[in-house]
Amino acid sequence: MRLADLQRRFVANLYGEPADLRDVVRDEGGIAVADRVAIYRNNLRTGFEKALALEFPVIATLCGEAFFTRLAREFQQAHPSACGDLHYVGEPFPPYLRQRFDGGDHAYFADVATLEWAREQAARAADAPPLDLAKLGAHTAADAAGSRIRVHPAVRLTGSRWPVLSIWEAHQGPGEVRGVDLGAGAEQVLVRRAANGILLERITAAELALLAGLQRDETLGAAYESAIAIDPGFDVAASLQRCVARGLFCG
Amino acid sequence: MSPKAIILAAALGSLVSLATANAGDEKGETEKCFGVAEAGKNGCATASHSCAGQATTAKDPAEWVKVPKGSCEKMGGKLTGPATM
Repeated sequence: MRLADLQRRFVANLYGEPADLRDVVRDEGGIAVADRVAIYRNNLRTGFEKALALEFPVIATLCGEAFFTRLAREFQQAHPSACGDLHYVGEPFPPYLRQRFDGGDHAYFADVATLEWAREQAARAADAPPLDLAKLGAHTAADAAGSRIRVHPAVRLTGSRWPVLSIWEAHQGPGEVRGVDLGAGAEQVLVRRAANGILLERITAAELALLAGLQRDETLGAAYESAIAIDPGFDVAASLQRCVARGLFCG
Repeated sequence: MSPKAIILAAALGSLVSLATANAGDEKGETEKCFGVAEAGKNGCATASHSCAGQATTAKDPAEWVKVPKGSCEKMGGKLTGPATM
């Protein structure tokens, strides 16, 4: 048997129905071949599920243990880990949930997962020195609208038509999970990394539009247009000052 | 300059005056938080599962529930499952 065929059969056994692998796995007495392969399979599933639950603790709680186990297994079948680092198993999870629960009562799961993944990304993103405000003034005084401001790599922005941050907050801390009215409306969330950890904050849709534009490397003028299209009264000076105070811009 | 250009120039100008006000702060917050990691989420913790799944039989698929049965029941949504299931 070619090595590639052997590997294919072993993998099919891990992800599909258990098959007889006695011609592939040597029987050396002791624990039976089928049992040894089952231990391997269970470790693969359990490790994957635990990594996923660490990355998406709110989704795990929303689902309940039994359903999350089922969901993790379905997801693993569709998106087996493609990386030796378990930190990345969850990357395709939010879009998977979007397609899985689309149009149903649990459609908001995808947006909650997007927020949880944004926290993961913010925790692991590169660092960058803060923006030098004095230099900014010198460069941009002549053409403020045409200037570009670099958003820190650890900043993530996510918006949802559901109150995703309220749902996330209801799952923090000890004790019972509080109920949240799903009909409470949209929330936009700024995710950033600070000295004391990953911080989540509600921001206005206009501020999200401004930051998202800058993050896409649009000019300040173009990003500002997106913001005032949402809120004509948007105070760009106050917003930029808040952003600087939170360290959202870098050099 | 158009009114918008004036607004943006003033907004950037206000940032420069922030810089003057904060001249005493030598280090930004972003410099201190390099390498921040959350408890329980480092690579070792995630990967330390070698004994976790050693039951010799996998959970019976019949145990699987068809509808989420966790805290989502408190989120004000209906309790019926999505049509896709």
